[in-house]
Amino acid sequence: MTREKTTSSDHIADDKLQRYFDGDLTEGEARVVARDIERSEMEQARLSQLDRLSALMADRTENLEFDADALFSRIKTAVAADTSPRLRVVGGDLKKRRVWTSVAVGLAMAAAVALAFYYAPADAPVAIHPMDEPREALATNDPEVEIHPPAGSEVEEIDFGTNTGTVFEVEGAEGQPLAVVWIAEDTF
Amino acid sequence: MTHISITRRPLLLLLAGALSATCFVALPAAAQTVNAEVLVILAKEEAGTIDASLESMTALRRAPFNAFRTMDIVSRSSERLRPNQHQDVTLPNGRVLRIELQRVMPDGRYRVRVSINRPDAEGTAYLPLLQVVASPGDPFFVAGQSHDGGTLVIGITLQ
Repeated sequence: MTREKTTSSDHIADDKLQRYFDGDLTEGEARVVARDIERSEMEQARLSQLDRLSALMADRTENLEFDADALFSRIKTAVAADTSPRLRVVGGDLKKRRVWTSVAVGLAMAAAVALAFYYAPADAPVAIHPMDEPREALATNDPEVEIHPPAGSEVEEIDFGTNTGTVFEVEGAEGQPLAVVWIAEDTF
Repeated sequence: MTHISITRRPLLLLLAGALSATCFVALPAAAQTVNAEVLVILAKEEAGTIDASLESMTALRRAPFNAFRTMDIVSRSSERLRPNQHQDVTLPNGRVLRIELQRVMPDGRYRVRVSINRPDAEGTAYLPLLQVVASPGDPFFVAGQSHDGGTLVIGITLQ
């Protein structure tokens, strides 16, 4: 928010100066601003800059073809030529234009892709991987069958009779489970 | 010299292949013999030596066997087993260990039954029944009998 300065020794706010130039100030405000401009070369330079910009805009609007890039280039040149420290070229417009252009292009591409999938003809050819085709494969019918049994040993059934005992496993050299039956000598 | 016509050769080859594929099942029971090594070890907790031939039995170095710091081989016997036929091994404590091959499984493992009698008490076996399935070369153990200040550990390996 631009703070408007009320003293003549301070710079005139940009907004106020613009409104003065446009004639949007009240009579009293205009008198104060005019006095400040008269007393300050810098304010006079700022006002003349506004005048030049306005002239450029007025000149271009008379032409049927509006070249925005050329206009902005001229404004940049004019601002760069001005020595007022309050005026500087801000390149945000170009960046914004590039960003919005990129966004628009991306959205257009995404929309095109979506439409392509949605409206794809039913009989559109589907990419076929060479390995998708059914083929006959010849395999050798080797009659020799090697069967590798599960390693280790396990208890299927046990009757301790009148003794007590336990069944557990210990690990063999290859990690296979080996069954162990441990029987207590006590008879009940 | 026997001449085999071309038309019969494929049939013979097919028959030979079928017989080869069923080699684990189709052999008559009488032809199946399995070697069973019965190892009887006297294990003691007191400090001593471990029989060098037991170095290859990794299971005896694991708990609870690793509690025994002395292991001596009391006996080592090899028995030929046939299905539904048993072999008896006399243990150092006078009991008899009976091992019987039930069958050779389709996957090559052996199903065996083991029992240990109690000669001093008729009608009450020390171990009435133990049925185990074991892969060739992988032992199973029966332990816990007290003898000569130690414990008998019986390892049975089928080949």
